[in-house]
Amino acid sequence: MVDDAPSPGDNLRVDAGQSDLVRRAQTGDTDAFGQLYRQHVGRVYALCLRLEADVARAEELVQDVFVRVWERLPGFRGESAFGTWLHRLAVNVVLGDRRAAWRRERRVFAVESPEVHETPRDVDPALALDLETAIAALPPGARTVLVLHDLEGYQHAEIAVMTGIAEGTSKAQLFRARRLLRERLGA
Amino acid sequence: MNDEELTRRLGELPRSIEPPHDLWPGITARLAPRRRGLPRWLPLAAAIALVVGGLSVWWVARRATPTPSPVAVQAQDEAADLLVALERDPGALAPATIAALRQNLAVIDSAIADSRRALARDAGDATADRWLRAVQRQRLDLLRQVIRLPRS
Amino acid sequence: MTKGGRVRACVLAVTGLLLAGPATAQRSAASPAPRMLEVRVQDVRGLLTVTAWDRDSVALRGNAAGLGLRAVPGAVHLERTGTADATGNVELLLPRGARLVVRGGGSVDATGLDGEVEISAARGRIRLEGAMRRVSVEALEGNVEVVGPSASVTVHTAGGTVVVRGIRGELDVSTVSGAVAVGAARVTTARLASVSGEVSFKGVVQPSGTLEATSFSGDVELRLPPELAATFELQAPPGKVTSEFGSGTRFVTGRGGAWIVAATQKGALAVRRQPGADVDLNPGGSSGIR
Repeated sequence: MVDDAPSPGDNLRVDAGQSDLVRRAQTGDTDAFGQLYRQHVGRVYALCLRLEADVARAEELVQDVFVRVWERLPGFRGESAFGTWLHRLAVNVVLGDRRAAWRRERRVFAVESPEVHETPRDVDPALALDLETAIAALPPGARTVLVLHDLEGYQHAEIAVMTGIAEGTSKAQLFRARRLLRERLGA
Repeated sequence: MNDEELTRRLGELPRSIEPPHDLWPGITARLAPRRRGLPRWLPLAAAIALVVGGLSVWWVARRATPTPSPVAVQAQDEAADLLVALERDPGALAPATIAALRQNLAVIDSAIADSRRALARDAGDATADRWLRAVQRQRLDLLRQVIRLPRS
Repeated sequence: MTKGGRVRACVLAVTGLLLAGPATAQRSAASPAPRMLEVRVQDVRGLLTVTAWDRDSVALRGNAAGLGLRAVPGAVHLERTGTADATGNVELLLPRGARLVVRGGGSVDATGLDGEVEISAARGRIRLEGAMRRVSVEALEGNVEVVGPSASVTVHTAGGTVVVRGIRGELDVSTVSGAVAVGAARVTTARLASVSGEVSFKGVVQPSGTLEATSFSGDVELRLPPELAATFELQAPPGKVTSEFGSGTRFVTGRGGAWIVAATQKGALAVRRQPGADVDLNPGGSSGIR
């Protein structure tokens, strides 16, 4: 699984392996798709979890994302790296789902998760939990932009297209999110 | 904490988090087997022409226009799929709903055509480009919304 | 339907269901409601009036022929029974704080609710009044009116007019051809978008808040407090912009903070100063803002 930005050489090795898996999955090979799933699920789950601030919801969305990836895979023409394409699709799924008025019935009875996030192992647990919790507590609009911009690396222009807000609004939401985070973490 | 410190902390957050449960079984249960045959866009164009007849001027012209961004392509693909879904199951939508959908799609498509004309005159018109994306987005949202409406 | 227009009064008190498993309708003393009771209404035609009351039970009044109340753990469903075409007026009474979910059907007129409200209907007039925690409406035609200090309001429709008055929080409204009118508002985030309808906003935008008001071909009008400190981004055809705050496509008032985006590709744009913009000059009234 690719966590941080790899060196160009790493990219080539990863992409070569991926291209083969993608081709096989496009023809219906679910084993190949399973391998793609295992390579990318961590990134997708992190995105869904931070956007939704809800473990159960994030898991549902991860499943929705990969089902959508399977459906759209024949249309993937390789103009971008598969990971990039998948990631954009994941963002679309999460944001598209938000606009649905209907929640699934079982979520009416959802009990608050005792722990909101997994604590990353190699960072001071107290600090990380603080920051993740603070992000989760942001208002949805501000949280969305913060996650997409500061954590996922999208530019405001891209965020504007994906979320349907103006670029200026995206910048304002980011400003607001960072200010609220600094306040919450004890500026 | 200042902005730099916050940026540093945000940068240290993991980009990947393993979900607490294995989600693969739930996913495989929902994967439809691949169907072979014609490219996806071919039957869609025919279906759209049949059912919603003449609405989507820009859609039919899609193949002739410059390649849109990957995000826009995904949105257009989904809009096309939603129209197909409506075509497959129109009987469950009341005639008045279909009429309302057509009327409103016509308003949107007019705005899309307007923006495309502006871009044809000046490909660097950032405002026209922004409006085009915004209205295309609204088109997709409307179709998603109609699909979700209760059928009775 | 009853004959000769006589309305059969029908009161079904559905109580004691809220904590137990399999449930039957009872007429007994109220029992404490769970943390969140969901009342789900499916395909009820005609006018559905919903009123919140200070009891831990759900009741149905009016022409209830062809309708039934069914209880499941934590929820009560109001739905059509059999093939009888349930039309006419019914009144649903439910506990404050309950979550109301309406699918399909005709018009909805709800007052006094302070929980969550979700409505998905193709047609019919929708009017919601109260200090609701969260409102979500998806419609196609038919006007939508949301009145009161709700914390989060989302309305997506196509042809109907949307009126929101008195909101205190986050707002997301989109239409295709319907007009959008927001008044007496105090928002943290507001997105108002239409393709051909006119968009108007009268209210306060909180410091560091955002307001985005756009219409492709309709007019856009904002009425904002004179002392507002914000960055403005305005876009409209040349000669069609009126601004009482500053000039140009982007400018800052005071020390900035809030972010105001107003845009129309073919309509006219006006940004005016309005003292007391968040005050409701027509409390308890219905219909338009201006």
